[in-house]
Amino acid sequence: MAHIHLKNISLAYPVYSAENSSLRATIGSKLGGKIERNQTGTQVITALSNVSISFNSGDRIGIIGHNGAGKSTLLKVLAQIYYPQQGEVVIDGDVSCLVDITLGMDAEVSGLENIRLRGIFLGLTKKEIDGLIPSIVEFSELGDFIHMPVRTYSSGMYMRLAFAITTAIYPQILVMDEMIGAGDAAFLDKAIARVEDMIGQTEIMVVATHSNFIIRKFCNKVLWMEKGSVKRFGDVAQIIKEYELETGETLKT
Amino acid sequence: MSFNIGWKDILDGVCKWRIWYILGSGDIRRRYARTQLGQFWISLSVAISALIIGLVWTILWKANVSEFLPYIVVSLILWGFLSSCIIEATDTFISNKHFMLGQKLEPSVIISALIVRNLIFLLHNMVVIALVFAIFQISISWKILLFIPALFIMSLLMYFISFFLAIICVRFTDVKHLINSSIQLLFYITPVIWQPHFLSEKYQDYLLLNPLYWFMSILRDPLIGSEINIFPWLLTLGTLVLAIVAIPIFVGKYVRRLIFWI
Repeated sequence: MAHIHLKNISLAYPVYSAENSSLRATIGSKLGGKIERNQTGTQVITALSNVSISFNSGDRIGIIGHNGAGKSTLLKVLAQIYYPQQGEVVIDGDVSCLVDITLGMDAEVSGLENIRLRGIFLGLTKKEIDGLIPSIVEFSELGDFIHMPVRTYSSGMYMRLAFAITTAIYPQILVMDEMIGAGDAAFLDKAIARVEDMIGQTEIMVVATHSNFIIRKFCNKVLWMEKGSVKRFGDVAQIIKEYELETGETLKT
Repeated sequence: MSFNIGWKDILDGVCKWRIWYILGSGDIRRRYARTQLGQFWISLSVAISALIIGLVWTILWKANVSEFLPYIVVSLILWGFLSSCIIEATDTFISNKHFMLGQKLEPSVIISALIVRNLIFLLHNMVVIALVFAIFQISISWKILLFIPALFIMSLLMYFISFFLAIICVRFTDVKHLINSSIQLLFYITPVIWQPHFLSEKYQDYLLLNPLYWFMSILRDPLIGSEINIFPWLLTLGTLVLAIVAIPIFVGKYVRRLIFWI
């Protein structure tokens, strides 16, 4: 059973080049993390402070909050891209981080070859990829274009291929910055169904989003981040109501 | 503690060989996708520059072409391997930033990719060496087999050296510029386009102070069939042992922080 446990984690980005003190004027502003100096005098931007959360199998979490509230940083901690300077991180289960669904693809080679490249980045072996190729090609609806170099594709086709490969595997833990999607209106319904299917197969799903629709459709819990800390965590309807009441904003539908 | 973290990064990275192989072979793949000769265009330019340097030197110093030209070709190709590993290390994390920020990817994967790419280039360029040897009818001795362990040792050593330099350069950009200008300097003081015996005997011992001379020597001597000098081998092996012990500790200390520096 996959699970995620973060205990008192704090994360600060060191800023080595910017000695610009005018930046400090932004302290206390609503957007962005806190700009401070650490013990050694390096300027740091605190992105997460004292975050403690546990996610268990079956959780589908939507992370909401202002820009700079720490959503993306938290996702990168979950994806084990960032190691926080303080606190304890326990992540049990293999994580797939879909921040960039085209990662590893190469425009110079064919679509088929790109399925292999992207598959390798997703952690598959050659054999596993070969097994998935027919279904990916079929889903992407690229037909004979699959043998053409990807640079000849329209950007819609390119995204469709990336999407088809990325959603063909089911990780235990799925981390996304904004819901992945692709294509025109006709493809969109198909894409949503495929994402739903994928999410159904994963144990834990975490998505950072500004969209009410995404949260209501895919999530069963909401994590509200504010200034690098957890403001509220729990039931979807309850927290969205509180969020909209307090910020006076309505989440996009 | 640092030692364990360092080795964990290195070993986890090694296990992701599929990723570093496709990253490392990417350039070659793209070249072949667009051109007929692919990577051999690069080999051709190496061959041409070696030819020109070789001819000029032969005329200037009245050296023997059939001896000197193969030497230059071999030297330039090997130097190209060593210097590219070092120069590319200085900005490899920056240029592969989006991979490291897009998913969990051990920094060691990026370093392995760098070594693989340069090894692939080197193997392509070996074709030029084979051609030159065929043209000048260079006799091959059993010593050429020593090139295999030498290349293995050097690839391993360049992996550790590149890793070390890459971490330093991502944090201190000045070091990157320092290395780029030093390499040019080292090219002249290392016997690459000149032979050690060009120096008067008094100075020849000082050559051993230059690690790049050791590295060039163990790679080059087997290929050109010159006498095997034991000192460069011992010194290189000593450096490798030191690197295997010390660099993982250094890596472990900074590897989890370097993502914040890129």
